[in-house]
Amino acid sequence: MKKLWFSFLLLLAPLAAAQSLEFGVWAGGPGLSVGPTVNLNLPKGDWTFDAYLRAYLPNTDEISFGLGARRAFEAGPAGRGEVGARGFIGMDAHYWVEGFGSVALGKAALDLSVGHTYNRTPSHFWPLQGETLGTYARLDGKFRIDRHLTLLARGYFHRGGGQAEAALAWRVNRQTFTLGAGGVDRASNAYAVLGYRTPYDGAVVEGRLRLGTLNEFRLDYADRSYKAHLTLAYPARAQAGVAWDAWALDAEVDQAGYEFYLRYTLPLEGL
Amino acid sequence: MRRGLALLVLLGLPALAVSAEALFDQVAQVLDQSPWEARLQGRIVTPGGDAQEADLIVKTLPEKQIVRIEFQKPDALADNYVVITPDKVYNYLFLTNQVVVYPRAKARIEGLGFDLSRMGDLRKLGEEGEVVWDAPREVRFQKRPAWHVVGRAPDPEASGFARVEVWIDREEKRPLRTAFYDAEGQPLSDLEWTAFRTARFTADDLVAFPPDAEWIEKK
Repeated sequence: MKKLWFSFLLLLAPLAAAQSLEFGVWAGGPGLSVGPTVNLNLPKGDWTFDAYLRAYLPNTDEISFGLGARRAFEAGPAGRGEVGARGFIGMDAHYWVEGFGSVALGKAALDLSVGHTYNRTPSHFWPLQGETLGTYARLDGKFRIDRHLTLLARGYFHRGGGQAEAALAWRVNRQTFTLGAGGVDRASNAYAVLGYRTPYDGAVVEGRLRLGTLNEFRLDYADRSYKAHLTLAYPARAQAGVAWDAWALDAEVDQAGYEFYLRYTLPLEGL
Repeated sequence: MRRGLALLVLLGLPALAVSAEALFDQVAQVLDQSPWEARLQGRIVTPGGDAQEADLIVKTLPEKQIVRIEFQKPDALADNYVVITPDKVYNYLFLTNQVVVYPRAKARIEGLGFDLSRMGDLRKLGEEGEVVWDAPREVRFQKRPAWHVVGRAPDPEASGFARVEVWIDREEKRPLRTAFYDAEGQPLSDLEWTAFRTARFTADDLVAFPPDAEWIEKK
């Protein structure tokens, strides 16, 4: 009995310095699988450590553990960034590893993540993992040409395909118009990108439309209390999410099934 | 008659002289009495050692000790802003739409080789012994009657500067120009205060960020 208590206290030890503890419930299908989730967030100076645990019920053999570490750094004028890595392993021998880095340096910003997923059904929520099996890389870049024009570029490459996109954002007063083009797998699979962002009654509203080979409409809304987004795509897919206070709710439905994730972040500030 | 006049002038001079401390008290009174906004234009040196053109809009709410510095130039900082409150410093980065929050004690105001938050309180620099001020001299600054005060830092390495020069409007008792120099005499920041006006800010006006910004809290 003493051993049990000791193990329990040992498990609780990281809470003493933890910044936050996230509790969540994930549900997905087809069929019904429920995933109670815990994410412990532990900042230590410029370092932040994360520990993840998700149990899938009733298939308990899919229980998943994860660890992550990242380090923030300052990088000259208006510069900051972070590098990190995280990895997950499941009882059914699936695993997922990812390294990531981001840097904002004056007029340019770059985000890069490279990962590898093995034998796992992708889960779009908590955390956002590779949507494909095998090795993948994501790249997002921004470059401010002047105070009105910003060049945006993104790429997503994975085993068997890829996607690349470039767009120009033009800011007029407090509104931003975006126009660009992208392609899926090859140049002939092209699509257009149109975007509009504006402040509205103390909030910010942004709409983005991708039309062509890729058909997708995304709407973002944010005010002081709520952040919400809605994505509608064809072939049929819908995703919606809302975050308020310490709560967040995300849902997705597509032809393969559905996913749902509700989470609450408990601030600890070190117990 | 001439001797009498000369004696009167000599006797009168000490009464006209003003110490740097008394002058900064008067400036502080002006700057502390109501919210104000000013445009600061000139040059600053980045941590990389490059001198860059600077154009900043400073907004303050003295009652709550809140300062907001909006960057117009240099280009690399344009549209970024810093909000300094008694306990926190908020650094907004436009390009990534992020707000990085630091505890005031650990704050790093990104992009500047010199901490702008210390520039406004000249009186405190003297009180804390960081600067030893010379007696103010009467000069004209852009045709306006002004006081010119020079201060020297006994410990330049600790202060981050070796010398500071300030021009103060003699009538309105507000800064006209502030310049900080390193030990080699190279300017770290040299800014003219233009478009000074009192305003009606509230704390919510100054501690305001885009609602869709990502928040990063540094401990």
